[in-house]
Formats: sequence, structure tokens, C-alpha cells
Amino acid sequence: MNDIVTLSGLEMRYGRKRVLEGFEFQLHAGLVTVLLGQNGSGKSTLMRALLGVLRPHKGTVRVFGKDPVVHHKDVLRRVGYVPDVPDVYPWMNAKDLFKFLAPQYPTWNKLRCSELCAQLDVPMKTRFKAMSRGQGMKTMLVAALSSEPDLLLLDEPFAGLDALVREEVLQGVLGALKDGDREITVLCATHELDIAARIADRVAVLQGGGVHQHGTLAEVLGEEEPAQVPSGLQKVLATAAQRIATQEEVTV
Amino acid sequence: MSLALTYCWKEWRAQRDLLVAYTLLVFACLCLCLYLAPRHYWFEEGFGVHALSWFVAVGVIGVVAFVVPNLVRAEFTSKDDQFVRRLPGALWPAFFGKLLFLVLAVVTLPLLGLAAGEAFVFALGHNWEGLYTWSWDGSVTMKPLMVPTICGLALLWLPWVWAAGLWTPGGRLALLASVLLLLLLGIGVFAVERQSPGIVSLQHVSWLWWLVPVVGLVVAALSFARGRRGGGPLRSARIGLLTTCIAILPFGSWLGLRAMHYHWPKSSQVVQLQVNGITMDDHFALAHVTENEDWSPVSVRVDLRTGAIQKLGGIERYWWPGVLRPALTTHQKRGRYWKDWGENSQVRLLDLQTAEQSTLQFDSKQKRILMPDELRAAVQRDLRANTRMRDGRGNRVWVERDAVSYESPDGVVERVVWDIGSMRGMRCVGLGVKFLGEDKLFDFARREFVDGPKTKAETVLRDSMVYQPTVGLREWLVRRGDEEPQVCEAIKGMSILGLWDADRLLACRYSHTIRGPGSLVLFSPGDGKVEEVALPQGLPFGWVEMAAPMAHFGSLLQRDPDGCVWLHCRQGSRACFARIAAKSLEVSIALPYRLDQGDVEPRLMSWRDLPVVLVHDQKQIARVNIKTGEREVLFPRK
Repeated sequence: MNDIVTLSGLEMRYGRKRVLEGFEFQLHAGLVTVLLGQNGSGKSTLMRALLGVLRPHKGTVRVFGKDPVVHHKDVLRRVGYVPDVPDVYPWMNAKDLFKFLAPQYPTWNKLRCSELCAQLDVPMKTRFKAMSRGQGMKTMLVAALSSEPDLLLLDEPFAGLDALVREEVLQGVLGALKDGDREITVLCATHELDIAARIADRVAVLQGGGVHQHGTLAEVLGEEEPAQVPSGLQKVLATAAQRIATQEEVTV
Repeated sequence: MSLALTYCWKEWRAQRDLLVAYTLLVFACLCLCLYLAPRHYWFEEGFGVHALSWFVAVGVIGVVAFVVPNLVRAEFTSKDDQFVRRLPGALWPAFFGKLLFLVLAVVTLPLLGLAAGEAFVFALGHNWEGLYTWSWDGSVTMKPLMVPTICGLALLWLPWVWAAGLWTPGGRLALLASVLLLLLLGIGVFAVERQSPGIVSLQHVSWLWWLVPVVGLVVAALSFARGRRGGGPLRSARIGLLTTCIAILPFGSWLGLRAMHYHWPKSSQVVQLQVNGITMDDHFALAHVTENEDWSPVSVRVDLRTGAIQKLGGIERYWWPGVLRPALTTHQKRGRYWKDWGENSQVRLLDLQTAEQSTLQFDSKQKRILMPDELRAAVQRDLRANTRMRDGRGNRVWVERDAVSYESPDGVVERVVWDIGSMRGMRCVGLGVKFLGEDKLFDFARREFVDGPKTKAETVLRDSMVYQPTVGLREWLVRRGDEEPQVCEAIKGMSILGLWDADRLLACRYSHTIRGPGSLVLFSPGDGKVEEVALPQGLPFGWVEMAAPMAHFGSLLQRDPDGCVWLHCRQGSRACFARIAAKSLEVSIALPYRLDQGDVEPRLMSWRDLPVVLVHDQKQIARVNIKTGEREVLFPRK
């Protein structure tokens, strides 16, 4: 199995504070991997390292076999990213954003963009500063998927969304995964296990600056001893286990 | 290119609201202010020019204070400027897009100001005549206007505002940070300039102004495209400041090297030389030298045997002869001890022979330098040995604070006590001295104070005194003893060059002051006898003065080892030293030379080794054989 992402001995710091330390991780092609972890466990930092926005203090980051800081252009043309909060200019509207992004991605698919906008009901003329969180996240998802990425990074895209919008966004993601013959790899950071249960092929639990567990959700839940899991995580794990037991199919 | 255009469009979209609001609001306010402002004095005169200048200035302010800081500031959203950094390979295109937008803004906003200003000025019925003023001093000089000049300088600084914005958190306070950077660089340059006045002529480095924006752009580009790749403002600051250091390193090194040459001039590269003194053995000379004609001189001791120089102090440190008071007013001399006034009543004493310096205290009440007895004795010995004052009876004379000392040929010293009160500086007037600002003079022959004339052209002889009733008229009066002064027709229109001996003086009539050849005479005021000195053919006699080593004059005209008196003669560009033989009064040309405009006249430094003399000639100290013309440069040696 090909590794899309390989992290080796990664150490990330903010000043003196170590966020990730001795981080070892591989992301297999074509799979949806969910990063589970509490707030401040380093999920967003990891995403930013994969985007080349942050430079590792130690260790190596390889995306498609290349360093995203050095081969920024080659790597990021194949990566779609949905941040936890829309990071685009507040004066932009969706139309401006797509017009701005289109020349930067050779694989930009205008038709797909239009379809997704229609499907997710993206407001085209509303500026980001006037959008609701749900509208903003849907627009960002469309922007990320329209470039037809090989790797999709989702940084807590479902957090703070109401149930309906969350379902819309989730359907958008699931729709992208089902689309055509393209094999798309997804890394989704979240601390919502019910989402993980619906989309994850594999789950990685971040704790103490490293990967605490890595495997299928069932493996993770089976191996985990409650006493070793942080209390917040225990609750979501329990909820997820319950969902797995009641749902017929979780796989994508 | 298309990506850069995309980013340029993005900048326009990001800033257009602000710029439109700024333009409308500020131009409207300016119109109102200029319309309502009271028209007094300078403001009424040339109102159109003032108004137009301010409209353009407001356009420039818009660029400096809003457009450039927003190139960075507008990238920051809720978290940071992650968006532009996570787009594939976007930083260089983004930089060029921003640069393109900046160029457009730099052109557009001031032009918009100019157009609005013109419309406003014409609407009010004014014009902008006098926008360009010029002066005529043989060539036309354009006079720059203050406001446009400041605007121009501000535009040159734009890239640095951009760069500084990239170094600050959130791109805030870019303008302030750039001013801080300017101050830091300015303090460095100012410190060097203060220590080394005139080290850099702005005219010679005016091309550096164009490097300011170019280097600024490079720094901004690297701060953005390299600094933001995998990092934030801190990384941008590291890369930007490193680039700045590398960029200014050549200039800094050049300036440092220049400062080193300024303060420690190399003997082989000296271009300016001023000799002030020389030791009695002709070994060391006290001089001021520089490696550049625009620089302040550094005082050095020149070893005339090796050509080596030794620095004696910082720049603009001048050593003065006359350590003991009262002292003869002169800037040059042959002698060993020199002084320099320091701060806090301190005096530095230089021993030119050994280059030793000592710090002494000046007693401001007694007006004397306090020095150890041993040193005082050494200084007095030097004073006694080098004195050129005589009493006309064959005695050597030197003066001290409390007495005038006479030394007979057989070495017997006689002291005549005098009370000079607070009188300090004095000058030699033949066989006597006259104190500055006083009418009294001390007659060495009569050994007493006598009333002198209120002029500065007196000469005291053994039994008489010659002086001018009015300075500059070249009319002379003779006073013999206590008799009433009489007009002296024999030397009317002549200049007195000095005392030939105790009873005769040497006077001359320059040819340039009269129609016809000049003349040189020995005149005896006692009996009125005039003795003509024949001038040789070809002697340039347009202007004449006495010549003696280091202009160290005394009571009598100095004689060289052959007993000859030296003259310095010039006519047009022809000049020479001339010698007058003591007995035959034969005048011979010793050192003919050519003097072009701007040339400094050569000066005698020593004639101890006749026929070889030591001459300070232009920028060199040379030994010249006056018989063969052979010349050896002692300093600076190549």
C-alpha cells in the first residue's frame, strides 16, 4: 500500500511549547483516516505542517514523497484543505474566491465547482465576513474539492455546525469520496467520533504529542483501556461504539 | 504573469474601499482647509504652488501610510496570513502582484492629487507659477521644493515600509517599524559622520539613493517569499534583516575602511599636508595630514629619516607652540615642546622629540600650566636654546613670566625683572616685544617698557623705532630716543622686511605696487642712510616676503649657515627663493619654481645642511640641493 503522507520523528513547537514530539505517522492512499484528539493535541498543527505553512522543528514531513516546504507548488496543487475557520479574505465572496483560486490549480474543475455549489447551496454573492459558519464551511469545502485533490485535509470542518448543515457538509465529503474513479485520500481531524464512525477507514488518536493509537476504529476501541484514555475522549469513544453497534454499515 | 495579475486584482479588491474613501475624504478636507485657511505672508504668495504640493503630498501619504502597510496587513485574517501561504507556490506571484499594484498606486495616487490640485487651484483663480525656481551663479541651479522633495524621499523608502510590515506581528505598525529601522541605520551613519566629518560627500554618493528602494525591494521580496514559506513574521524578520545586513555590508565595509584611513592615514596615501613644526635636529616634523582633501586633518609626527608617521591624537587636534607664558604668537616653530588645550582646564603637552604626551593642569588664576619642576626646566632649556630674540648688543634674549633674560656671548645670564600683569600673547617687533592689545612694548636694548604707537607695523632698532602712522599707507615715521617722530621719506612706499642688524632695516618696494622695477634697500633710521641692494635680472619681484625655516622669526632677519638672508619672491606664476649675501649684498636666485593658481607656496623647513635645504612643497617634504636642483622626497614616500 502506498503512503501518501509520511511523518518521521516530527517535532513541532510554538516557542518553547512542544506540540508534537517524536511524531511517527503514515497515511495510506485511498483511505479515510480520522485524527482524534482533544483540543490542543496538535491536530491543526499537524495539518499546517502537511501544508508547508509551518516548518518542522525536527523530523521530516513527506507528502507524495516530497517536502511540502521545499516543493510547495508540486505538493499543494494536489492537496485540498478545509480549515476549522474560513481563512480566506473576509471581503471575498464565493465567486471571488473561486475566481481567485482557479488559476492556481491546474486541475480546477469549473463544472464540479458549479455542481457542488448547487448541491450545497453555497451563497455566491455573500462576503465571507457576512456568512454564517455553515455557509463558510460549505464554501471552503467546495473550494477544496473543486481542485480535484488527491489528498483532502479536513481540519474539524464539522465543529460548531448545526445538525442539518453538518449533514450537508458530511454528504459533500462523502459525495467527493464516491466520485468517479479517482482515488482520494482523506485526513480528517475531529474530536467527534460519530463523524469518525461514519467516514473513517482508520483512526489515529493523538495524545501527548504523538500518535497514541492507529488502526481501524474497532481496533482502536478494542485495544483501548478506558483508564488510559482521557475522560473527554472516553465519552466520544463510548458514543461511537454505540453507533457502530446500532448502524448497519459504516464503511464508505 | 497571469497569477501576478490575479494577485494584483486581489490587492485592488482588498484595498479599493479604503483607497476610495481616503481619496474622497482627504481631498475634500484638503480643499476645504485650503479654501478656508487665512492667506498670510508666504501662504498668499505662491498659494497655487503650496496647494498643488499638498495635494500631491496627500497622494503620497496615501501610498506610504495606507497602500504599503495594507499589502501585508490585509493578508491577515482571523488566524494569521495562512491562506496565501497554503496556496500552491503562491508567494512569488503574490509578491509580484503586490509590487505591480504598488507601482500603479505610486503613479496613480500622486497623479490624482496633482489633477485634483490643479482643478482646485484653477477653480480658485490661482496658478502654480513658481513651482520651479532657479538661481543663476554662472550656471542654472534648480531649487528643489521642500514638500515634493520629502515626497520623493518617502517614495524611495516605500519598499522598506513593506519589508518592516512583514517583520511585525500582524503587519501592524509597519510605518513606525520602518522609521525605527531608518533611525538605527541613520544613527550608525551619523555616528561615523560625527566622528569623521566629511567622510562621505553626499554629492559623490548620490547614486546610493537609487539603491535604497532597490535593496528595499529585494529585502521585502525575500522577507515575503522566503520568510513566509514555512514561517511567520519572525522568520521574515530573520531573513529580511540578514538580507539587509548583507546588502549594507559592502557599504558598511567601505565606510569602515574609509573611517580607518580617515583616522589612521597611511603615509604613502597622504594628499594633504600641513607642517607646523620641526625638531631642532630636523629628525621629526609635526604635521597635519589627510588622505582626502575634504577630510579633517589628523596630527602626526613624521619621521623624516624613514618617512613613517605616528598619530599624535584625534582629528582636529592642533598643537601650539609657546608652552610657557608669555608666548610669541605663532603657529609654527622649530622646537620640541607643544601644547594642546583640553577640557576641564587640562593641557596636553607633547614632546615632539620622543612623541611622549603628558596631561597637565592649567591654573586659571595664575594663567600658567602647572608642570613638574623637571619638565618645566626642560621646557625652559628648549625655550632658551631656540630663542631668536636679541638685544642688539650681541646678547641672546628670552622672556619668562617674571623676567627677561639676557645671555652674553660668553654665557653669562642676566635677568631683568618685569611685571607683565595679565598680558600673555606677544609678538616680536625687532629688538623688542609688544603685547597683544597693549600699546606698551618692551625694548630689549633699553631694557624697559616704552610707549609704542597704536599701530602694528612698528620695528624697534637699537636707538630708534620705525612705525606707520596709519597701517597700510606705507608711510613711515622714525622716532629716535625720546625725540618727536619725523617723517621718513627714504622708505616711503616701501615695506619693511625686518632688521638686517641692530641699526639697519631691510625694506623693499614691490614692483606690482609701482610702475617700474622693484627695489630693495638697507635703511639706517639713525642717520637716514639708504643703501641700495642690486636685484639680479629675472628676479620675480612682484611680491616679496622674508623666508626662514618654519617662519620662526625673531629680532633680526635669520641668517643661513653661510650668513645669507632669504627672501621669498613671486611675480605672476614665476616664483623663487632668493639669498642676499651678508657682506657683498649680492642677491642670487636659490630655488626657482612655478606657482600655478591654487598651488600652495613652498616653505622652508630647515637650512642646516646647506646647500641642501628642507622644503615643504605642496603635499611633500623634500630635501632640495639649491646648487644642483637635486630633489629627494622624504615624505610621503611611495
